[in-house]
Formats: sequence, C-alpha cells, structure tokens
Amino acid sequence: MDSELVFLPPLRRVAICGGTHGNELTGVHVVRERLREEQRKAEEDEEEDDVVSVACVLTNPRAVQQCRRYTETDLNRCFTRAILSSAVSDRTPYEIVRSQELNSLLGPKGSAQAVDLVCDLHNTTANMGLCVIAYSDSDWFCLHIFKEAYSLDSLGKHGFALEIGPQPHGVVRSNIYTFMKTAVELTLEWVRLFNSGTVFEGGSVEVYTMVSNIDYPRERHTHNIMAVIHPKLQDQDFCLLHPKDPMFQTFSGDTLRYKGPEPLYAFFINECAYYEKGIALSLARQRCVAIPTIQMKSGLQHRGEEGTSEEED
Amino acid sequence: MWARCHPWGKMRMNGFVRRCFYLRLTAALTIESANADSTLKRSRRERKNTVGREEEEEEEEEGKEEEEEKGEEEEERRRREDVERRRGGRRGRMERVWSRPLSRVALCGGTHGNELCGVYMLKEMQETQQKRSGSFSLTTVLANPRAVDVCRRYTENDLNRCFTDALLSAPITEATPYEVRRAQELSALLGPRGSEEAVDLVCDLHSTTANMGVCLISHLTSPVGLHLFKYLQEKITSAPVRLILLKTPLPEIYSLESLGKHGIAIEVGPQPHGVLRADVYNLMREAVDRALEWTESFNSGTVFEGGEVEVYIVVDKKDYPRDPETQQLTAAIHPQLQDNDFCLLKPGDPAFMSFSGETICYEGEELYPIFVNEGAYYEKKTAFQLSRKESLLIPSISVKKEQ
Repeated sequence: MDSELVFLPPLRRVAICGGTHGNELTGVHVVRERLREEQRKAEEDEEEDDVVSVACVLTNPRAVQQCRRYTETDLNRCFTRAILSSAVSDRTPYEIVRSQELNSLLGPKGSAQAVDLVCDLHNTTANMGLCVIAYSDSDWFCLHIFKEAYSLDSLGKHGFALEIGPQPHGVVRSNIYTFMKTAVELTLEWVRLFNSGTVFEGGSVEVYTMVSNIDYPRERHTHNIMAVIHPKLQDQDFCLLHPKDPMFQTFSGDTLRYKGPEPLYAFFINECAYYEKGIALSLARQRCVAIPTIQMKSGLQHRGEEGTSEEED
Repeated sequence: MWARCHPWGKMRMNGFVRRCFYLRLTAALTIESANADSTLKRSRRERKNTVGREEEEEEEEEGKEEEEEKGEEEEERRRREDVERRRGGRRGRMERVWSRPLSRVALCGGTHGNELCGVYMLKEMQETQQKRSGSFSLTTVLANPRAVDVCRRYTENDLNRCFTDALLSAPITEATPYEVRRAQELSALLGPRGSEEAVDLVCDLHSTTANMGVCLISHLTSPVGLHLFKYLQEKITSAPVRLILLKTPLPEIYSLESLGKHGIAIEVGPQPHGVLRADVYNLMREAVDRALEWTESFNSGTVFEGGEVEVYIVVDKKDYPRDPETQQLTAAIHPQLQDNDFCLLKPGDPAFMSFSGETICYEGEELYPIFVNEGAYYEKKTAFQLSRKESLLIPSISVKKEQ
C-alpha cells in the first residue's frame, strides 16, 4: 500500500478551536494569541494567506469565562446528529445551543459547506505528552499530519483533537503552551505544503486504538471512590499494563491489581474530568497502520462522511 | 488560650531574645487568665496593646537601621530595657515555655471542595479511627460540603477568606452567601476564636497546583505551632517541609485554622485540583499522622528541645501581565520559574513568558517565590507570592499539667 499514490482535494478552510472545555487553558490562549496576531496583520494591511484560510474559534466562551469544563453539559459530547438536529427551547442547555451554532459556523456536519479540517485543542491532567486523537484509522490527512503531525472535530470534513498534558485544569504552563502553539503552526505548515502540491510519502504509523475504560473502585451506596491510581501506574501513560500489575491503591494503602486477560496500553491515567464519567484510565491496543503516499489534486471532492463518528465516547 | 509569637522583619540574635521574652510573657498571661471570661477579654486587650507597642518598636528599629547599621551597643541597650520592663509575669526558666495540653484537636478537609486530599483523608480517618484512649479527642470536619459535592473550590465565596472578625460577626440574611454562613457555623463549632471554648488545635488540609512539597501555613504562631513544624520537618523525608507565616493584622485574619487556640494549615503539592494522586495523598497522610503523633507525645509530657527553624514570611505578591482592557492574561509563568517555588528570585531573573514568546523579568527585591502558578489564584490576581526567609530560635516546650 505504501507505494500507492492517493490524490486528495486541497484543504482550503481550516478551523483551530480552543476552549471547548473552558478550563483547558492552553487552547484558550493559543486561539486568543492567534486572534491578536490576525488583528495585528489586518491593521498592518498584511497580505492574507491564499493557500489556506484559517478561522480561530473560542468554542465555549461561557465556560471559558467561568474557567469550568462546561456550564451545563459537556460541549464536546454535543455533536451527535441527534443533538445537532434537536429542537431548541428556553430550557435547552447552553452547550447544546452552542453546538448547533458551531455546526452552522463550521459545518453543517457531513455537508459540502463544512470546513475542510477542524483542529480542536485540549489539555489533560494525564501525562500523555502530545496526542492526536482521531476517529478513523483511514483518514489519511489526520494520519499524515500525525506522521509528520461525536466531538467538535467531527464537524469538519476531516478533524482531529490535539490533546496535550500534563497540565492541571485552570492552569496555563508556559512549556505546554509553547508546545501546543508549535504543534498548531506545524499543522498549518503541513496544510500549506500539501495545498501547494507537495508529495507526502506513505509509510507506517503507530496508533493506539481504545479498547475499554476502567473506573475507580467505588462505594456501592455513595459512589465515592475507594482508591486512587497506584503510584506505579500514575504518570505512566502509554506504558504496557500487564495482568497483575498494580493499578489502584486504597486509602488504607492496599494494592489492587489489573485483572484483564491481556496486556494493554494505559492512557488518560487520572484525567480529572473523567472522575465524573467513571473513568480512571483507558486501555488501548497498539498497532501499525500503513498509510499511502498522498498528493493534492484540484477538482476532487472531499468525502464529507469520511472519518466522522456518530458515537459518543 | 494561646500564646503567640510574631514574626519579625529582620531577625537578629539579640532582637530575638527580646521577642522570645514577649512570647513567654504572652503565654504566662494566657495561662493565668484561663478560668475567667472577663479576665480573658482583658488579656486579649493586653496582648493587643503589647502587640501595638511591639510593632511600633519594630518600625522604629528598622527605620534606624536603614540609615546606617546601628551598633550592637544600641541594640543591646534596648534589649536590656525590655527585659527589665517585662520581668514581672515571668514564669519558669527563660529557655522553656509551657503550654496547656492539646485535649481537643480538629482535622478539617474540603475547605476548598476540589482539593481532594483533605476530603478523602477525612473519610479514611472517620472510617478507621480507633477510639482514642490517648490524650486528646479528634474531631473531623468536612468544612465545605456543598463545594465538595460539586468538586469546586467554593460555591459563592472562598470559605477560607470568610473568617475575618467582620464576616464572623456579620448579620445573616437570605442574601448571605453560603460560605459566610458556613464560616459562622464553623466558628461556633470550633471556636469562637480567642475564647476558652475554642478547640486546642485546628489542622486544615489543603493542596496546591504549585510545586511546594509539604508546607505548614499559619497567620500567628505559637511555640506549639513552631514545634509541630519542627517535628514534621525532622520526621518527613520524602518531600521538603517548610513553614510559611502570614503577617495579617488580627481582625483581618481570614482562614479557618485561626479558629483554634493553635492552628495550622497543611498544604501539599503539586496536585491538580479535582485530582487525587497517590503520592500526594500519602504525603498528606504522613503529615497528619506525624502531627497527631507529636500532639500525643506533647500531651504525655515529652520535652521538645528548642532550636533554630527556618520560616518564610510572605511579604508581597505579583500578578500576571494582563491586557489593560480585558484583564486577560498576556503571559504565563516563565519555564525557568515554573516549579521553582522556594528558589531565590533575583531582579533580572525570568518571571513570565508572554504568549508571543517574550521574556518578562522580575523587578524587585531578592525574595523567595511561593505558590508559583497556583490555579486558584488567577482570580485573586496572584501569579506567585514572595517571601522573606528568616531563622527563628524557638524555646523548648513541654506541657503544663492542669492543677
């Protein structure tokens, strides 16, 4: 497959989104800085980029203003077709109203009018470094960007989330900000190169495909957690977890071990926002995906359905 | 009743002896007046008057020292005068103080609802607490249950800023924020502050996103608090242990631990808010266990030898660079400052990095930064606090058995 050349249409319209979760501050500040930079260029009459048009969007301004993940419901779970087409009333949660606004702005999802690429910026308290989170293993754009480089990113014809950690929610760390800003710039640089006709060689990329989530041990009646991520597992995202490896430590100091049948890769270990979702860690299999060589060709249509997902996490 | 030791701006051996005498005098006053409310109130006034005189003397001393280094003779002369003035009320030898047993101890958690170490520490202690046949009773208090339920720092007001005299005595109406009402409930439960009914020791458990290890924090310290710190610092080896003192005028003291006759906040970090890390939880567990261990030992009559302790006195804070119109941040803590709490910050050192990549340097005195990039302090306009490091010589301490 890696000798095959696949032609793909240009990516003319790209959206960089931040603040989908209002307390994940790196994306908020990357977007704000880019908006400041755009304003400066406009004031100085600089030439606009004609290779790619980039829109920067603060997706959940109310949550950003309150520095909370969301105000009523998680915005990044509001982009299913059912929610996007639901009737809006005075009682509709803010985030559902907002997801429909964003769908008008960046979509509509699955249509020819949708932006070509959505890049949604997130933080995690887990020690995951920089992750590209995509919903298809055959979206060559996402895999090539990664290779060089339900959710909001499903609005565009192609989309992925850039997740970077560890960073506490509500905090901005300079090194994490610089990392994310660089990742966004590299993504856009790739898009410009692609749109200019550059051939990107295929090859093989390592991907992690989620298999399952594991919740904390909880008290039956109160649902309070009874243990925390074990010190030997804490911060060990993308290390292989073997059966019988320590997984949790109770408050009285006992070790609880992983009882799964197969070794899997743990990630999103101790993500703050997932306590309420019943997730202490996620488990994934690793595999290699072969990706073809790609090159831009004008006149082709994007396949709007490609790579989108109906399902929530 | 509680004895207080005021932290001073500049510490000198000779100056310290003067302050040590003040400490002992206060302790003597409090012990003598333990049994009468009216005497109690008179003692509070006396202590306040003494504090006022002391503060005036301190300013005068510092003013002179700024002009030129005053000779040791001047310092010594003043010290002798103070000793003579305070000779009445002396109790016991100069090198040791006595304090009443700590019979009632309160352990508080969840003062900030998203600082999870304290919340779960309380649950664990409630479930496993053996009947204390020892020397003190232990009460566990979930300080802000509403905030804990929603895993947020607070619901309407920061509870740990609601313990000023003004807020504790404010009339309650329907419009009163939840945390102000809760502060008054806690004051009735654990205080009232400065009264005979107040619990002997309040330990309030917190966590921070800043890289601060274990810190004990107090507005006013007594020899009890200082010795507790000294003990924890000696016993805990898995993380640095430091003492932070806040110089807040008495009526403006705002935090929960001040309700007790003695009070300390135990702060551990770094830990994201809303997250529970095993290593940080274990650290807090060790700090609490050691604190209770010291209390038991103190009550049993152990003499804890005095010595020198290093303390950090908060003197200033710095906000983030902000857009003047929107007040939004334009910079983050510089990578060279990030995680370097308690490392001396000098003028010209990098403090912030703007979002466009420029370095902004620190301008000010050489001081020790703390609470560097604490998540809850963005809204309090604090990027980091600045502290002065000082050495305190503390006397030996042992329990004074009640007659």
